[in-house]
Amino acid sequence: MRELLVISGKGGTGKTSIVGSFAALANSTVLVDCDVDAANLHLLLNPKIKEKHEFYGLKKAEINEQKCISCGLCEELCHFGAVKNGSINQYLCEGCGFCFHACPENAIMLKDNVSGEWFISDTCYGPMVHAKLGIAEDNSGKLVAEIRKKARNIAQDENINLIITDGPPGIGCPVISALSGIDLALIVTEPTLSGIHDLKRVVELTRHFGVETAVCINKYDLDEDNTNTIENYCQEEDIMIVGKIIFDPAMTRAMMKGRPVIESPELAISKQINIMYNKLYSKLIS
Amino acid sequence: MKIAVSAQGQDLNDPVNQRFGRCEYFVIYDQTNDSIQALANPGGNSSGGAGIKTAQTLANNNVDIVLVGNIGPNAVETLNAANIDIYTGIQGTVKDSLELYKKGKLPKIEKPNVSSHHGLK
Amino acid sequence: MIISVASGKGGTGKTTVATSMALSVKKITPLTFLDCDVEEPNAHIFLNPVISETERVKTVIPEVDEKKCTHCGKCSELCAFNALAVLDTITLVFGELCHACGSCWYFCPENAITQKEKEIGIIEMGRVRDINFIHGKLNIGEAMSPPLIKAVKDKISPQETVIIDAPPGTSCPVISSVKDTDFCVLVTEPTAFGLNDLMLSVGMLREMNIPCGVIINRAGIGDDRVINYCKAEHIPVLMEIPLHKKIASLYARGIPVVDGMPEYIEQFQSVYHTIERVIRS
Repeated sequence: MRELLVISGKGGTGKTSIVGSFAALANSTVLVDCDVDAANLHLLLNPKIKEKHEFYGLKKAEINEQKCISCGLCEELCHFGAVKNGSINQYLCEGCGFCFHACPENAIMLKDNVSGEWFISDTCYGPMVHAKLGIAEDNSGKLVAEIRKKARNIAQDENINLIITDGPPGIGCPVISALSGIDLALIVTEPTLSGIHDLKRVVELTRHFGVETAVCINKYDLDEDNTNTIENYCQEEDIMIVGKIIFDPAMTRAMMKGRPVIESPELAISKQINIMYNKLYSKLIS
Repeated sequence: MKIAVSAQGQDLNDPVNQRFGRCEYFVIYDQTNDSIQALANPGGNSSGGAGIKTAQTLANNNVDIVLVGNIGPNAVETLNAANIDIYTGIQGTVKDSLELYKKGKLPKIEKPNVSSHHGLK
Repeated sequence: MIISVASGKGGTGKTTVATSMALSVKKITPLTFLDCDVEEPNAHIFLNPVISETERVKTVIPEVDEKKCTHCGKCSELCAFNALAVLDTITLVFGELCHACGSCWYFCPENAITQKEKEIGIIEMGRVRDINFIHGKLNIGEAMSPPLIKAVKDKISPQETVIIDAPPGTSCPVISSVKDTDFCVLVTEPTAFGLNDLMLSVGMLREMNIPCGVIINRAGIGDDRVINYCKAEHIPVLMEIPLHKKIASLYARGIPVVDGMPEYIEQFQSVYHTIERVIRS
C-alpha cells in the first residue's frame, strides 16, 4: 500500500483542486481529507456519508451546583481564567483537571467532550474518510491520526493499494501527524513571496521526517520571476518539480460546479495535471 | 528479560504497528518463562505526549527491551532514562519481528528516527 | 477601537487586506498594527517595518528538585498533557507539552516542584510610515501559540485604534487573536471553498459575540453564493476587490495594494468608517 500526501504550507494554493483531480485519475484509491479544521475536498467529490462517528478530545471540567459550596478555590487556581462566578467557560477550559483534583467538595467533574466528527463516505472515485473538528477544539493531530488509520484499514479490507490524502495547511502539529509514514509528499506552491517563504518551511519539515518530496508550481505563469526563484531553489535543494500548472479560471469554475477540473480532459490545465499524476504514480510504485 | 513489540493486536501473529506512541498494544515476550502477554497502550488515547505516556507505561511494567518502527525524541528520552533498550526496523507480524531480533537483524538505536510530534494540537 | 482581520481559509488575501487597510486608515487616525499570525507572520513582508525593540516572551514550566523527589509518580498521573515522566531514578519534564496549568507544583507531596521560566517566542516592535508595528514570532518547534498571542495583544490598549492580522482557521490561535476585538473583518473569495470556510468563521464569531463584516476578494472568479449568504445572514459586505492581474502581481512581489493602486485608499477608508458606525450603533 502506498500513500501520497498533498500539502502546501500556505493556504489557497490549489491543493484541494489538485487532489480532486488525482482522485478522478486514480484507478482505485482511498481518499482522505486531513484538513480537519476547514475541510474542502467533500465540495468537489460529493461524498455520500455511510458512517458518522464522534471524536472525543480532552475532557472538560464542569461544576456540579448541588455539591458546590462556592469556596472559590477553583476560580483562584485556574491558570486559564476559565472559572467565573461558579461556572466554567468551555472555550477557555483546557481540560488540565487542576480544579477537578483540587475541589474539596468533589463538586467538579471531568466530562467527555465531543470535539468533532468523522465520516466514512462513498464517492464516485472510491471510498473517502473525512472529518470536521468543532470550533476552538484542540487535538486536530489526534483526529488526523485517527482518520488516516481508518483509511489504511479500508484500503486493506478492500484491497486498494493507493491512498491519496489532502493535507492540512501550515507546518504545525496536524501536518506533522499527516506526514508520518507517508511514501511521497507533493507540495503545491504558487509563485508569490509568501508562497516561496512557506514552501521553504514545509520542505524543511518533510526533510525532517525523511519523506520523499516533490513540488508542483500552481499558476506558474502569474509571476515568472518568482517561478524562476522556485525552480532554482528546487534545483539547489535537489527536489523534483513534477508539474507546472497554468493559471486557468476553468479550475475555479469546475470547483464552483463541485467537480474536479480533470473531468474536462481537453483543457491544457487537465493535461498538465494528468502528466503530473502519472509522474507521481510511477515514482510511488517504483 | 521482557521484550515488548509495538503491535496492532494482542497476539504473536498480529501485525506490528510502525507507530510507537499510538500503537494499540504491546505484545510482551518474557524470556525467563517463555510466556506472552499483551498490554493495551494507554498512550494512544493521549491528545499529546503519546510517546512519553507509552514509554512510562513500559517502564511501569518493567520492560527491558522494546522493538519499534518509528519513534520520536520524547519517547526515546524517556526510554533511555528508564534503561529500556530500543531496537528498530520491525516488520510483518510480532513473531517475525521477534525472530529478526533474535537473529540480530534489528539495529539498536539511541536516538529518535523521526522527529517529535509534540503537542499534537 | 480594535479591528481584527481573519479568514476561515488560508490564501484569501487576509494579509493583503489588513496591510492595505492599515496604510489607508493611518491617514485618518494614529494606528497600531498587530500581526498575531505568530506561526507564519507575513505582514512584515508587505510593510517592511524598522524594528526598534525586541522582547522575549516566557511561560513557566515545572522544575523538579531531584533531592526532594521521591519518584512517587503523582505529578505524571495528574498531568493531562503527559509533560512529565517519572522513572525509578529520575523525573523528566517535557516543557513544550506543558500548558502551565499548575497542577504538578500544587499537588507535589514533597514540594519538590517549582516553576521555571521558558522562552516561547519573541515580540518585535517598531514603526513604519507613522504606524506602530508589533508582531510575535513563535520559536520553531513550539506548539503553544496562544500565550504568545496574548502577550502581543497585551501591548495595546482598548483606547487605541488597532488593526490585528489574525491567523486563518477557527482553532485556538484564531480565538486568542480575535477575542476582545470590537469588530472582525472576514476576508473570503466568492467560491464554494470560500463560502464553506466563511460559514465556519461566522459560526465562531457568533459564539464569541463579535460583530463581523465581509470583504470579498477576487470578486468575479465565482458566483453570488457568498453575497447571497451574507444577505440572508444580515452580514454587511464591506468591499469587493475584483480579480485583477495587477493586484495579483503586487501581491506576488510583496507590495501592498494601496501602494501600487492608490485609488483603493478611499475604499479602505470607507470600510473603516462603516465599521466605526457599526461599533457605535
